[in-house]
Amino acid sequence: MPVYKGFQAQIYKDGVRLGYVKEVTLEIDHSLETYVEINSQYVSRLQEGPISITGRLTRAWVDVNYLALVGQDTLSEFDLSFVVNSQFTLYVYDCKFSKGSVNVPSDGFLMEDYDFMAKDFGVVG
Amino acid sequence: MKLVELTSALVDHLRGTIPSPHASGNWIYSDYPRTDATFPRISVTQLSGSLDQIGIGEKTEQATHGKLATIDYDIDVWVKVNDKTTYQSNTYVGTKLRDLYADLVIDTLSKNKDTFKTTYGILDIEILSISTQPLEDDTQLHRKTVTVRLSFLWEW
Repeated sequence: MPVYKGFQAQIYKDGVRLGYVKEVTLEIDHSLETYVEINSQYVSRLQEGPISITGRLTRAWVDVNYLALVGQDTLSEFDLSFVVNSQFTLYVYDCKFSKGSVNVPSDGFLMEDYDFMAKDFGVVG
Repeated sequence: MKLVELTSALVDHLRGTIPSPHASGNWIYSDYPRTDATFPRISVTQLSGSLDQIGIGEKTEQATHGKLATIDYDIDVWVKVNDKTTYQSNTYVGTKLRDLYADLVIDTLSKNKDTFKTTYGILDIEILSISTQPLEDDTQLHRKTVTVRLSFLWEW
């Protein structure tokens, strides 16, 4: 089983590579619950619930285009894709930034953080 | 940019901005002065540093930059006890002259961050610390050390 590191991955937003991304986290939650029949001691099945796709990305350098995505009354949708060493690609469709923050330190690098939610995802590879 | 170019950039900038106390010849070098050198002198020496991954996807075949380099330097000002220089109508001797040059080093590095960025691609210069060495009896030298940290994109 191959092991990959961050330098072997690429993150794209609407097909354009994100520059200087420090960290991206993606979480897919199926709201899985156990179903136990009456009079049974054991779980009869695992029941999927609503799918929740959330994530967070941290970037160096403030990009006004990203700020604009959270600075309007209506949030715009975009797609994200994670390409790992050209081996497989994880697509995250119809994302919206739910929260954005900018950190301007007196010394050091300007950073921006965004939380996003998505409607759907798919894996190719 | 790499280590050799970085040191040259720093030495060239100091030579171009700090007025020389000597009639001719260089007085700022990238190594410690010999005891029989002509003083005052300024030396620029690399201490240590780190190379960090700058982001996800760095470095790949498509990327130009691979690492964020953070390099520390000691900039030492060396002045003989009886060295004397006139700067802006004031005369400075000994420890006062040593402190003057330390001030000039800090001033020029702090005020010219934009120039370093546009000319050499140096992202930032931080003044980390200032320290003073006791007078060396053998050589009669006063010495003050300004430690700075430079960051830049390491290219290959």
